[in-house]
Amino acid sequence: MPLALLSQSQGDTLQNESEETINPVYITGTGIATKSNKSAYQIKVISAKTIAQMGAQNVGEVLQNQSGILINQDPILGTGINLQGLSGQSVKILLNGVPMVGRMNGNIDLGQITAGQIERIEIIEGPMSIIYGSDAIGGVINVITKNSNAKPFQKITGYADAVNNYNIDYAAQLKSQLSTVNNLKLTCPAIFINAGRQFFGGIDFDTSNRQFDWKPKTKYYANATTQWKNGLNTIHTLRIAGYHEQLLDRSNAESNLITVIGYNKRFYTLRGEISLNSSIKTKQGKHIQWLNSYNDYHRLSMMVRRDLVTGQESPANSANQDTTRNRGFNSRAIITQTKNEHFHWLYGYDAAAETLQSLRTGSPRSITDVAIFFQPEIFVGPKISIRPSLRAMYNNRFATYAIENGKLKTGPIIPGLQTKIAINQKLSIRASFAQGFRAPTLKELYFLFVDINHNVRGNAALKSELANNYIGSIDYIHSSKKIDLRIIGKGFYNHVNNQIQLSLVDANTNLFQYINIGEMNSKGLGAEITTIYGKSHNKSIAPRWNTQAGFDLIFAHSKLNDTSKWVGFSTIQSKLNAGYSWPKQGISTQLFLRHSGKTLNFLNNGDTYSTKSYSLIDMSVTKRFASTQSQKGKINTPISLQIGCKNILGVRQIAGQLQNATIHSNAGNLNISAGRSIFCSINITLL
Amino acid sequence: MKKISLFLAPLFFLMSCEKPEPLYPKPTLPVGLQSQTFAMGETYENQLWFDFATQKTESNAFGLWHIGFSCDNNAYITLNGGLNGSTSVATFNNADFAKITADSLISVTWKYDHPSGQRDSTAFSAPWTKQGANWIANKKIYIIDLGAQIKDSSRYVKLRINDLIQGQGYQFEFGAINSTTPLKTVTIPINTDKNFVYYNFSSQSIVENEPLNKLDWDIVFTTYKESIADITGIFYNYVIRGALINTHKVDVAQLDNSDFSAITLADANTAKFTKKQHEIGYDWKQYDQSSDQYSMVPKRIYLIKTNGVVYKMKFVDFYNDQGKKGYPKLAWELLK
Repeated sequence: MPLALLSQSQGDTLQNESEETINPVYITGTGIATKSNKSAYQIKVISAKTIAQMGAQNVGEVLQNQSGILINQDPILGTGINLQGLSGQSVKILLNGVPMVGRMNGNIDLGQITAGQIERIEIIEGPMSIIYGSDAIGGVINVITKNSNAKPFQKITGYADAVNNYNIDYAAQLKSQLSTVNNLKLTCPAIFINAGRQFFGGIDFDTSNRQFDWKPKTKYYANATTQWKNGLNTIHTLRIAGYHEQLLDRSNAESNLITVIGYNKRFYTLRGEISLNSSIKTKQGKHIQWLNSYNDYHRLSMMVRRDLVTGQESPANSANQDTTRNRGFNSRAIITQTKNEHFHWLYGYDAAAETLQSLRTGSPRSITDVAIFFQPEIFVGPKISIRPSLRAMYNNRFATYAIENGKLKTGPIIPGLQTKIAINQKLSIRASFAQGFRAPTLKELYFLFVDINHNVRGNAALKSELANNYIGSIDYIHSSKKIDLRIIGKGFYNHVNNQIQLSLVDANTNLFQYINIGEMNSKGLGAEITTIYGKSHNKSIAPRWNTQAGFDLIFAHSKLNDTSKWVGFSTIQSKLNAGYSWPKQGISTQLFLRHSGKTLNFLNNGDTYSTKSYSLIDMSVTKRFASTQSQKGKINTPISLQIGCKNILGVRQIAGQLQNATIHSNAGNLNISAGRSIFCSINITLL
Repeated sequence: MKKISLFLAPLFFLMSCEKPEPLYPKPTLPVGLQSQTFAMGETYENQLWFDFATQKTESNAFGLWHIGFSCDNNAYITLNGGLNGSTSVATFNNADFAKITADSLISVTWKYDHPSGQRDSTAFSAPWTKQGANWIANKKIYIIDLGAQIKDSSRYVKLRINDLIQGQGYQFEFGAINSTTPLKTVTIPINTDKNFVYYNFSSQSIVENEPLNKLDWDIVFTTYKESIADITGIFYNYVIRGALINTHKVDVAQLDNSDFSAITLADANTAKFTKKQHEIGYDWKQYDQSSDQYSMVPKRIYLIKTNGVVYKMKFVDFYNDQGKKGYPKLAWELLK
């Protein structure tokens, strides 16, 4: 019953308060909402409720509380991640299955995905290149937004904290309406609308200079989702979204004898997205998930020179007015069919075209990628399922195999094999091998920066990075009247070949170029235990405990070229979430602990710098003021108030230390958080 | 009404907005401080010749000349290295015009003028030997590379220097690189009011480059060639922009980590002055790669000794009011 499941999963989204469960549904990689214990993948789901309890305002803040994911904060480029020891450029970021464009320095800024629209976040570790193509080496993060099939409501949320954040978010579910125009009956379908503004005034730890340590940002966003049925078996979902961000970067003041000057550089980021997702069930029993989308990313920077004494501003050096435009078209169909009890089909195509225009890549560059994939599921007896998979593709910019003197080019052919053994109702084991790839980006192919000080060039002859990934996991689920328990243990190994590195290829001309010379491997062990106590048939009044503890041990090693040494690190990451709720009183409280062990980071020149361990603790209490019925029978506005403290330990920056064979020197401070922050959120819902 | 107020309450969160930056206090200007912007232009197309005593500035276009002949008692030749990174000279100890051809360039050493401008460090090595009042040519052929911006064979000029006979001026012959005989013989009269007399091979004409007499200017903002080490320590010849002094009348000293207002005439007495023309040079500014922006090196002061007085001087800007680069601004004060 895939459609019914889909509707159900998207139906219980009212006011982002869906219940915690140890066995959530997911949709990534299948097109059909499926319970996570049925999956051949090891999948992690973060619900809207958990996000709300964190007081998180964007995906970057949500993932900062997850074990196994390393977050890095760039003052200008925003929040990037590292998954399974692989950096952000090897992680595919999807929004309802639509690949996001606009990677800066390899990363999508996760701070640009605002929290108010999110239904859940699905994280799959390990390669998903079979279905999602390039960049999905380390895994996939699929942000599922709210759909338009909940009960009608309007909600307005205000958020403020002690580190200069002031946000407002409006969300509404409008019901479908019938209207008559010129005797024609028109139906306006149900629609979900979300719009808001997030303002961050900036934080400056060192007030002796003019630079902000955390740069001021103002974000505006709006999105709308509507869904309509075409007959009994087809559902179309249309989503339109827009995002605008302004970031201010101030230079230090330059004092001369006559006046004092400084520079203000403003970065503007604009995102636009339109997608149509059609879910079709044919009479032959096929389920087709067909997704077509267009993504537009535009980033501009404008610098002005400011006389700090008079306040007079003038445009600065025109070379600083950079603009980057990145557009992506994506079309993908995932077709599933249950042939019989022993064989399920999954196949489809994935086509993507991307264009990039920027100061350093020159005129618009484009790359097109068309692939077909197969991933049938074979059931051997009642306990064992096997999913062999294959992706074959054509890419207009690079080829792994050339046939007939290069006339016919194909990209890498990606195989995979996933097996799941259900030992019994509670215990299952998964083992998988999959290949992943990362196509050279347009920047890596066409970058050009040559002047008196630089000779950095892209390389049109680059091949894609190829990775082999092995994952094994054990999954135990126990459910009784009083307790739900899930224990997951996992281990993984990744080896990436042909890694693209920016390298000095000619010392005479100081030429730096992207070449396929690097190698990388990462391996790790992890475990996660989720429990929900106090389960009762009447969930709305019984007190409930929930806890989730996780740890990950990650080893990552990198080798820049044939002659260099392997350099790497191991790190322990762990988390503990605990919550308790008194539904009768409308109170819930939640604690988030996150420990990040010592890590090592890589610089472009191959040097490394270490960062010390740190811990983050967040806590929140939410009180829902019960709705009351007025004399006229109308329901009064329910209000919920959340008060909490983020980063109770007040970790702001950690010192990075440059490391090589002989010297250790300071590599500056890395931003972790804007500081300890009391926050308050008011949520007013009109039914 | 209650419903409306509940809606309005969260609008409080919309009130927040970017705070305007408070203005900085105006620096206290030292009495006697003067300042001036020198409009080299965004592409550094102009040269500016400045005299501290009269505060007179003359401007002319950069790049009008290829070589210059000195007008003092020491005969030497200077090369306009600012034209291109590759503008340089190769010397052949063979006066036979026909025997030096393009093939001769295979294993030559290309030389550049040292940016200090000192006559024993020029690209044209020893053109003459002094005999009495005359300078007798040393029977050499020079190939001048006018720069890689010229894409055809006119990039190279073959030059033979003749004797410098007292009272006649400089004389030389030149032609294309593969020509067997000189194309032209040129005589340039010496002008003792100027430091150099100049010649342009493209227009095949004597050109004027110094708009002021050598007693009437102290520094010139121009484009020239400097040898700069990269981060690996290897030296490269870069075309750069900066200020050169008039070595005929100016001495200069560079002081670092100095507070402009604290410098007195006593500091000038202990400072180490030099006549190297590039002592001011280009490194009063620094370039920040990430912002692609120049800033002034803080606390780098120059002392200018000219016409018997000393000025203290600091660069205060490289941009004009419209934010365009190529507009160095100087502030200076006479030390008393």
